[in-house]
Parts: sequence; C-alpha cells; structure tokens
Amino acid sequence: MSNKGNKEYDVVIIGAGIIGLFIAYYLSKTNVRTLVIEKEVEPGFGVSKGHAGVIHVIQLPFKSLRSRLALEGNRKYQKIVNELGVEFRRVNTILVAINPLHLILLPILYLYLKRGLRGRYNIRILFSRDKIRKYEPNISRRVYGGILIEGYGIIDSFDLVYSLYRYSSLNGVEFRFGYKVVDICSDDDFIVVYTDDGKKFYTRYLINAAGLYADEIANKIGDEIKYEYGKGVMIVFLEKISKNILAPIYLKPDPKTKGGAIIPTIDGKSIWGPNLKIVNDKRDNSVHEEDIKIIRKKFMKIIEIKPSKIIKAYAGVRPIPEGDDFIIRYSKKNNRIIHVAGIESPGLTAAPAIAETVLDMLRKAGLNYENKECLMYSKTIYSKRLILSEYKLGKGDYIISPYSKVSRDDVRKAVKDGVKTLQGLTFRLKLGFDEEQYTPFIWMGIKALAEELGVTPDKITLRGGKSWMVKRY
Amino acid sequence: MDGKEILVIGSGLSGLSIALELSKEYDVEVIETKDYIGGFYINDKLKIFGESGEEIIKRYIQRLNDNNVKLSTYNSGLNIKDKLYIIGIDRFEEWNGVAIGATGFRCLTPSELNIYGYRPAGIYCVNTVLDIIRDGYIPGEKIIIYGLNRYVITLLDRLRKIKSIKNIIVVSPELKDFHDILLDWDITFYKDKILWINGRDRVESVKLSNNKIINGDTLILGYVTPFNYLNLDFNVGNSAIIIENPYKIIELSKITYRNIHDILNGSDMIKINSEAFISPKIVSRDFRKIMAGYPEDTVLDINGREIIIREEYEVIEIPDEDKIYIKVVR
Repeated sequence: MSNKGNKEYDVVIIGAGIIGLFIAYYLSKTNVRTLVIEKEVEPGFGVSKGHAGVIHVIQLPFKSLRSRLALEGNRKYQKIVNELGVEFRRVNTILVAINPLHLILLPILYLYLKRGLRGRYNIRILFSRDKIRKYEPNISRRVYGGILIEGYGIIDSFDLVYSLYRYSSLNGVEFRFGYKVVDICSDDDFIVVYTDDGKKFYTRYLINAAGLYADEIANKIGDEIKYEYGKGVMIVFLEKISKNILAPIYLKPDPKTKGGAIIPTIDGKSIWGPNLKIVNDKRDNSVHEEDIKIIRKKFMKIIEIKPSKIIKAYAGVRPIPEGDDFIIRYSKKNNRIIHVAGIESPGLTAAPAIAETVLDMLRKAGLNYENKECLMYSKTIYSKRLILSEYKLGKGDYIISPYSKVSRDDVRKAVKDGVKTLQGLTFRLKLGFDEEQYTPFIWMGIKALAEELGVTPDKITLRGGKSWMVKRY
Repeated sequence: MDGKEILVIGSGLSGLSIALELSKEYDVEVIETKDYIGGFYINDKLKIFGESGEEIIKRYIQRLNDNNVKLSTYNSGLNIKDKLYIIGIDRFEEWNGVAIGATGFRCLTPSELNIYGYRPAGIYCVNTVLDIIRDGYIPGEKIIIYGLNRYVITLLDRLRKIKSIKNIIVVSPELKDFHDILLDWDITFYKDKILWINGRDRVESVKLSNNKIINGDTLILGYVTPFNYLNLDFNVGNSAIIIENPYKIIELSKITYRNIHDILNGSDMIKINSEAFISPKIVSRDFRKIMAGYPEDTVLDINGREIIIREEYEVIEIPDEDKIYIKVVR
C-alpha cells in the first residue's frame, strides 16, 4: 500500500474513553504521532460516563488480569492527579457483615483478602458494630462487623476525562470527534482506517479501545471478540450519607455482581449501586422501577440514615467479555494492531496500568519512540474554584447559575476544554447535574454554549446526533 | 439582625412584592440572575384573576421605581462557605445584612415523579420553556405536558398560539379546576400518570399507567417544588411554599414583611420547627401570622391543638409560646 500525500500517523487509537485517553496521554509525552478517532462528539461519552468515580483495591479473583492491573493502576493515581490537577481523595472501604454467619466467616475472608493484597494495602477486621461506628457513625444496627480496607479512592471521573484530553491535545495528539470508523485494512507497511465521512488515515499501529463497540471494530479486522452487555443502575442522593465506601459481604461472590456499594462522591453526595443486569442491546441505558427498588432495599440494610428522595438515577452499560476478564492482546492478523477490549469495572482504576501495558506492547511490536523534553499543560481554572476561594470574577464576567456556581466565562473555558454539548457542560461544570436539571439555569447554559461555539441555540444538542434541544420559533 | 439595608434575591412577583413592602422603611435592592426582571409572571398574559401576571408585575416595577428601589439583572446571590455573596458584573461583595430568598420553584425530576425509562433531550421544566419562548425558540413541535396547575395553564396559553407547534397533549392524574379551560382551548388531555419515557436521543413517546403510548418530541414537567438553595432564614413566594395564586404570593410577602419588620424592631422571635408547607418559619412574637400552603379541610396540629384549614393559603395565627411545632394530621 502506498501513501501519497496523506498524513501518516504512528498510532491511531479508536475510542476516546478513559482507556483511549490514558493511552493518548502517555503517548503525548513521546515523539509518537498519534490520532484518536471517536464516534461520539466529546471524550468519555461511552462506557466512561456511566461511572461512579471509585478507584478500587479488591477485585476478585486476585489472579485475574483485572485484579492485577487494578492494584497496579491504583498506585499510579496520586502522581497522575497531581500532574493533571484533578480532585482525588483516598477513602476506606468497609465490607460489612449483615448476618451473624458472616461474622464467623470474617477471619477467613480477612486472611484471604490479606494474602491477595500482599501487604500493599492495609486491611483490618472490625469485630463489632461499635468498632465500625468509629469509622462510620451511621452504620446500621443490623450490621455485625466488617473488614476495613484502606487505599480506595474517589475521583471526579469527568474532570479526569477532560483533563486527559486537554493534556494529550496540548502535547500534540490529534483528535477527530463525531466520526465512526467504517473499515480497516492493512498490509506490511500501513494500516488504513476509513471513517464515515469518506476520509482515510494511514498509520503504522492501531489500538482498538472502542469500548462497547470494540467487538465490531475487531470484526472489521477479522478478529473475534464476544461481549455480553451488563447494565448497572446507580441512584444519586444529594446529601452526604457515608464517609467510607460501604458494601455488604456476599457468601457466594458472583464475579458478575461486582458488588455495588454506598459511595461518597468527591462533591459530598452519595451514589448507591450499581446493580447488574445482562441486556441484549448495548444502547439500553433505561432505568426500571425494580432497579431502584433492588438497590434501595440492598443498601438500606447497612445504613441507619433514611435518605431523602432520589433526585436522579442513571444507568451505565459495560462490556463483559467472554472469560470475564480484560482483553489486551495483539490482533491475530497483525501484531501492529492491539485490542483493548472488555474493559469493565474496575477499568477506571486499571486504566493507567492498561495504558502502560499497551505502550510496552507497541514497543515490542517495533514502535520506537523517545520521550519529549518539553511538555505543556496548565489546568483550566474555573470560576467555581475561584469563587469558592472568595476570588473575584474576571472583568465583565457574570454568573449564569448561582446554584452550581458557574460563570459565563466558565462556559468559554469549558469549550476550550472540548465541551460541545449540554451534557458536556454538565459533566465539566456540573451545571444541571441534579435538581438543577429542571430549572431555567439550563437554558442559560445552552445560550452561553451556543454563543461560545458561534452557533444559534437550535444547533446545540444534549449529546450529539439527533439529541437537539430547541427549534426556531 | 440590624442595619437598614435589605437584599431580596429574585425578581419574580414574590421578590418584587416584598421589596415594595420593605421599601417603605428600608433601603432595598432586588437582584436577579437572568437578563430580565419579573420572573414567571412577567410571561403570564392570562387574565385568570382579573388582570394578567404581566400587568401585576409591571405595576410593581413602576411602584418600585417610584420608591427608588434598585433592581439589578445579571446579579446573583451565592452561598460560599456559609456566607452570602452578591456577584454581578464587576461586583463581588459579601452580604452581612438581612437577605430574603425569592428564588422561585424548580420542577420535580423524573426520578422524583417515579418516571422511569430513558433520559433523552427534550425534557424541560415549565418555567424553562417560558424562557425558551421568550428568546424566540420552541422546545419542540409535538409537546406532552405532565401535570396541570396555574403554571401549566400560563404556558399552555403561550404554546397554543405558536403556529410551529403542531400538537399539545396534557397528561395529569387530576384535572382540578382547569378542565373547562382545556375544553375551551381544544387541548387533548389524558387523566393518567406517566410511567416511562422512550427515546434514546430525543423524546419519542411516553407510556401511561394504562399502557397507552403517547407520541411526542418534548416532555414538559409541570410538578413544581420550592427551589431555595441559599439557606436563608426568610424565603417568600414559591421558594417558600408552592402558591398558584399571584395575589396569595403578594399576601405571603406582606405577612413575611410584618414578621421581619417586627423582629428588626426588637420583637422576640419564635422559630417554628416543622416540615409542613408553612411560611415564614421564623415569626415575630408580636405578630405570629403564617401562611399554610394546604387546601381547605386539611387538619394541622399546632402544639397539640388541631386546626382546620378553611381556605387554600389561609393565614393563621400561631399561639404565643416559646416553641412551636406543626404537623399535618390529615
């Protein structure tokens, strides 16, 4: 295959979710010419958006790739969030026993977990409710004891997504949003990636990080990846309910349940869930009444507080691959193509370790690169942060939402960070995240976004495609 | 509390009406986040109670101007570390004086309304749609409205006059007094609940409790609840209790003013401990009047004594006791 006059890339990544972005982030620190192709209009709009923002420790079974990469990824986070300026906080997880039999089994479970963690994370038994209460004052009277594991984390995963995007693009990674890969062919020299706007891109290496669609991309190459789709519903409460991540102990840990928990969020709310349901349609992110009931019932048992009304419930769909473990491997057709597929929970935790694994595989497949000396990055400072530190707004700036503390200038900065849609504005600035969604401040956001993008509000969408917001009179 | 300056946050009818009361004795400023003064009722052209909301608001603006009350758009009240700030264009000041919240309502979310399914584009709150229309846009062409109240009626009146809107359907489990208006305006309605929203990108249809599917590209939510996010001692209008009658909003402003006025002049305060829809929750011991946001025949328990509400938004006097608790009996 000859490439006359077309721009060549060393690496093309399909997918700008958390995995594609982490790979792009590491590659942006090198002299590798990288292009990311994403079918959604913004980064992180696929699997990554249905996230509860937890950095995990325990992932059973310990011998799985998932577990190994999660433990490795977890330890890389502090350095990354420091570099990117993303909010991150270490928290403990308490696995609680809600039945006396579980209390008897605690020592066995403790020894099993301790061995699996190999001394890298602190873990201790709390033999009574009172001992748990020292860490978690609101623990239920129905809880008999538990196991406390240190080293978990909570993160604003949306901030992480946009910061990784910003870092990578400032350091030379190119992005094409809103275009679907329709075909891929390769020979000894090049891999050619065709997108649905009729363009083609020549690259030496290709990474399939297409999340829920990695099975379809693999198909185009002639490889087979088989998925089941797991839907998980999460419910959001506006108030702080727990200090720690709280999860009940299961006697028969079903690898597909992935627990679910009461999770404190970085901005002081509480997320409960997720549950897990196998669905046939990967676009099925509907929430059913029974999901809410199951989650409420499950977690009400372990906490004494009666939470207020549920303001928001949402569902995420994750790819569950055959074998229920991450797939990170070379294509059978071409070792310059790498599949990174089936990255379900704890994919966010493992992402930095997955990305490093992929870079290693690229090197082994013959990609030579050097680290760049000069790297650019400055964290976008939003007015919200300034306001919270009692700094004045910039000249001429004004507030468009006193509820989520967003200023007009924040919208300009968000657009520079890659926001093009109302959902992006919500993810980036928290405008309309919960009860504010059904107030006029949303319209203020749409108008500001349109102004900033140089279009009229009827061109603004919720999340791209046919999700238009308003029409002309 | 001291000082002669009082801040009112929100320029809807409740904010303007309490500002007018206060302006008789105090320096008052009304601040508004949006680019227009007048809140919900400036968009109301219906003469349900003899005059339209727009006429009432314009009258108030005139009188406030006469009394030299400052009305500032693009100015917001923000809660930062439990302190109140006024933030506007080239303005950033901490407010230590008395502040009154008049921040109106928000809509109940689909989750709060037990509506399940998808969350596509095209789900809006009733007052968001009024702002969209105000700026020359429509929320969609085939509209489903959920809930029926004074606010929905005002919106319906605006929507039905827009030619590019092809279809309007109202779904509500209760039709209340608005049945005749719907018939007059020839608007299709279903006396039912919405259980499910369909549509991945944009609203496509909703499912009712009898499994009937109604098609539309827009769902407007009409169930409203107070939206007070500033943790202030005093709130008026819909940020305190939902009041569907503009004259009752004005009345609540008047009794709230009397309570505040007495307290500022040295009267003892009584704090009312209650989750009930009553306002204000801090009253002057000399005045002791509150408004109850309940329909007639509701029974309230006030410090162990049962009181029957005789009319909607009745103003009741509470007993002269140090502690007051109020519960709804039935």
